[in-house]
Amino acid sequence: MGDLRVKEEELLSERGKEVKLEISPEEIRSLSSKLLKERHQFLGITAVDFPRENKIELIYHFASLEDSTFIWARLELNRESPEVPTISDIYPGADWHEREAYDLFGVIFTGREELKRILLPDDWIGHPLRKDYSGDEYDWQSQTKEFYYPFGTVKEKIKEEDGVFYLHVGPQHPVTHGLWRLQLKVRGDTILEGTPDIGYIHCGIEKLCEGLNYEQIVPLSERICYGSGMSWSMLYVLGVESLLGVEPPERAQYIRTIVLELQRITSHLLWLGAFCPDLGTYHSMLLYAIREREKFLDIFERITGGRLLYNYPRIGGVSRDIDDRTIEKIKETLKDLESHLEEYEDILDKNEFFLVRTKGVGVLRGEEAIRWGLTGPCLRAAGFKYDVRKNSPYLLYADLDFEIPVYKEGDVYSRYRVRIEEMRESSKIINQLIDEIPKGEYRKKVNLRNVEGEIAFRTEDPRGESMVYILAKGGEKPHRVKFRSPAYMNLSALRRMLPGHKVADMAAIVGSIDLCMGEVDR
Amino acid sequence: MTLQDLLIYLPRFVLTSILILLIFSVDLIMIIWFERKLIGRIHHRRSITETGPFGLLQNIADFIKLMVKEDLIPKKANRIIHDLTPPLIAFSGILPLALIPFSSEIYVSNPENSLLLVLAICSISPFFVLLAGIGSGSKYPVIGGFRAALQMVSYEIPLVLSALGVVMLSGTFNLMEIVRSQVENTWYLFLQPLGFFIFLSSSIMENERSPFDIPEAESELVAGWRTEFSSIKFGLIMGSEYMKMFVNSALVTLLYLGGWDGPLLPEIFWFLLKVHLIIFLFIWIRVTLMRLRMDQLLKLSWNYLIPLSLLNLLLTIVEKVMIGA
Amino acid sequence: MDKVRELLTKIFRAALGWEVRWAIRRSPWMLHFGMRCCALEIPLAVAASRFDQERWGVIPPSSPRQVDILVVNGTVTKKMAHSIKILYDQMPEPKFVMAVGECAICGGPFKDSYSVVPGVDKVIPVDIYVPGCPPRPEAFIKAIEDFRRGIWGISE
Repeated sequence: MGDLRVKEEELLSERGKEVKLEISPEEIRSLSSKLLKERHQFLGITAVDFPRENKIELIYHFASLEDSTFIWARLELNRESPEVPTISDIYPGADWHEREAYDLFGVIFTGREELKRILLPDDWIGHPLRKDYSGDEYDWQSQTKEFYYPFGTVKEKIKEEDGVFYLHVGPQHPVTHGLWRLQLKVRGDTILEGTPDIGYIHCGIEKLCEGLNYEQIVPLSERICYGSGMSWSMLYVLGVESLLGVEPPERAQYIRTIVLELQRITSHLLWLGAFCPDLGTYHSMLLYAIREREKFLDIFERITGGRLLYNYPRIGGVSRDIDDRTIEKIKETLKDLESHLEEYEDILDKNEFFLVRTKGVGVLRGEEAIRWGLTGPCLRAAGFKYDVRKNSPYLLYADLDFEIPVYKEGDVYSRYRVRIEEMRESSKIINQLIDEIPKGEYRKKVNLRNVEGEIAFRTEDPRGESMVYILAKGGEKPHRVKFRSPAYMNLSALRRMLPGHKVADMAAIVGSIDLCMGEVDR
Repeated sequence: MTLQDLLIYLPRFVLTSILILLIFSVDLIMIIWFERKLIGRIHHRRSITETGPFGLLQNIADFIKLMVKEDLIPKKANRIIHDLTPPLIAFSGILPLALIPFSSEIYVSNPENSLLLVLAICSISPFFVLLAGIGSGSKYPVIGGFRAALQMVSYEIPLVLSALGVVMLSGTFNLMEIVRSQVENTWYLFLQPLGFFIFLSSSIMENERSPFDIPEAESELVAGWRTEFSSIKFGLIMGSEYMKMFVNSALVTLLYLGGWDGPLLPEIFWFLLKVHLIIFLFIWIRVTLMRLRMDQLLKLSWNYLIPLSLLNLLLTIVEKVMIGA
Repeated sequence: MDKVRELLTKIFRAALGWEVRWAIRRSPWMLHFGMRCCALEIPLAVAASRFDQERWGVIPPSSPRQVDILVVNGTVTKKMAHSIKILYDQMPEPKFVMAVGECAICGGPFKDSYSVVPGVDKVIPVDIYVPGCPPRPEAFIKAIEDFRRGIWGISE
């Protein structure tokens, strides 16, 4: 890493190389432009508050798209006046992460245009994720008493040009798939600018985690993304396990891989269902996709007892065993799914209207896709063969035989194709594992009394690359838990995808990135 | 017109009007029920079942509820326009019934150029829609209204041009005469398959139904130009959509499917049967296809439908010459 | 003009007969304000083939001007609270509110958070509570049946 101070370099056995750098705040710009040239993906900024040491630590995470290198760049800031140069011109995807660090920690990023709050309202007081944040200064009740126009400030700021007007999509709008607001600058029917505004369901999960035991966080982490709750609670559990160095029983590992892939299929089916009404089929595809999803929810109900939120993974295993009838049922359902996928392809791929609406729409590919931080199906649709399951495998993925579907065009259609084929691959993975589940224990006891260390664990979520950062400083509760959400950056890339398209394409593009507002706002 | 004529004409006029309105309003409720049931079946669900036998009373409940709902007028809306447009839209939907013959006996009036009049009345409603959009004083309805106006530009020409083929073959603008010439010879569906296709797709565009429901695109514009209408105004707009659908299907039936032509059973039965077959087709298309974008619709219309309808006219001339020879 | 309109509305309301009460309870058009996890169960799974809310005549129009019941399913945040109020104000009378899920009822697992309003009834009046985290679709169907049985003095 040249003249940069490399603190430690360690080779992890399965997951590839992990490099930890300690840099000064000025070096971050040169480091990130160097990493961009070497095709590294920017994953996120994690800020940690240390009130006793009077410092705030920022950790920038990067992952290589070529091999399995995972880079931490750590820098320390003064707690009273935390200032650091921006990298949002090098990685535009970092823009929202910087705003989030400002919003929750009060870190000032210099050299960028404006630093607004992102998750909390503009007039919020204080920075809630600082350890000494207390109280409830924000007066929300005064706003609800009388009629209050929430976007009133917007109009004063913007002078309306000739033929240009602003369209506010959301927070409550059929296309938003959750609650967020999209401010469109429109001339005629053409979008000039699209600016998403998020934070409407920000619940402060990361702050809540700091007050809970390690076991108690599992159900909370599941509520980050309700579309694929299993993958988030599993992410957290895997993170804690690798922090503790616990190796769960093999049977548990098999079951975990199977439920993760089942969850991926469920999530993609949900996406397919939610995406097609955006294009304007009178809910037919929605109901067909949900019909299939219900069968998978039945399986989940058999395994875990829940339909949507499962609270299934435990630190050291899983909460319940899987029985033979369930295995039979999984096999049947997967066989069914194959025929239904063909049906969907018949309905959509042979439909001229669908092709016209999706091909060449919302293109984001090449270096731009890296700079904006796309991950998951969106990145694979943009021509990059990158999947955490292959690049730095976890659970049993190292020994499994499956393909990564890659498309070159980077448009809405190829994102749809990638997801359809991923469902096939997931079904292939489950079929490899389902008959070979070893007998034995499915859970073992883990001591969570005194945990120390820090970990950043990455998995492949249905929506992209998710990461959990856990810092434990002894005791029963973590010092800081940070969830890196793929949809967060995919959503911020909307600002690059929307301009130049028609208002009608907005629905297709927003639908194609597979939003889950829970994980965006957290 | 002498007094004697008037005395014969007036009771007949009143009676047929009442009859047609009766048939129509019962049919309207049945169409809405039929659509909801059919869409449910296509979606693999049962749809309305709980209110009345087979859910037959559901639409009546909806209608009564809409009547008693509070009528909201947005602060920025133009009150007069906001109040007036829904009845006008409904009126323009129901007016063609005065000109459309249900059978050779049941009709309200039979002017010389009834086809032309019906087409003219049908093309008024986009203006009311535009007015409703602007009068609502909010952005989504305005966009929806302008889209409706743009959409009219794209469907009106192929609609009229394809109807012209029928007129050329039959040699008249009168709907009764057109049906009569079909009864004597053959249905124009067989002589004018291309024209039938163009007329059908333009009718769907006129109806603003999926895949051409661009003015009220739910995923983009919330409810398009209808966004700000509540209570009975919304009910009228909803009703007018189905009225338009009925009128358009009736036109397709009269122009291409031989109107009330059919063996044995009464004429009115055949007419309504054909109309409902076309409505079935409309609903089927609605649940199957994606919505087009505005520019794609214009492209479809100007690059394909209009040249095709001109080609259809050319073919009609050839047909006409051959039949004449 | 306004006064005439108001008077006419009043007269009309006073004349409400059983058939109107019957109609209001049998035609629940719902606006789903889906905020968190419950949004996947209540508008989505319930609209789909297995549970099929349209059996009870539920239609989800997308504009608040045309709905009777505002279904709040999810966590109400302080950033969102005033938007819910606006949405509620935009609905025509008679209107009802259904709070679905623990979060909408009392804040649920996020009760202690700095940005969460503990329960939607702090913002708008609620008529029907559907507990669960998330509630199963059957619970929602029970709520519709309760609505049909009678609510807010409009019972048989």
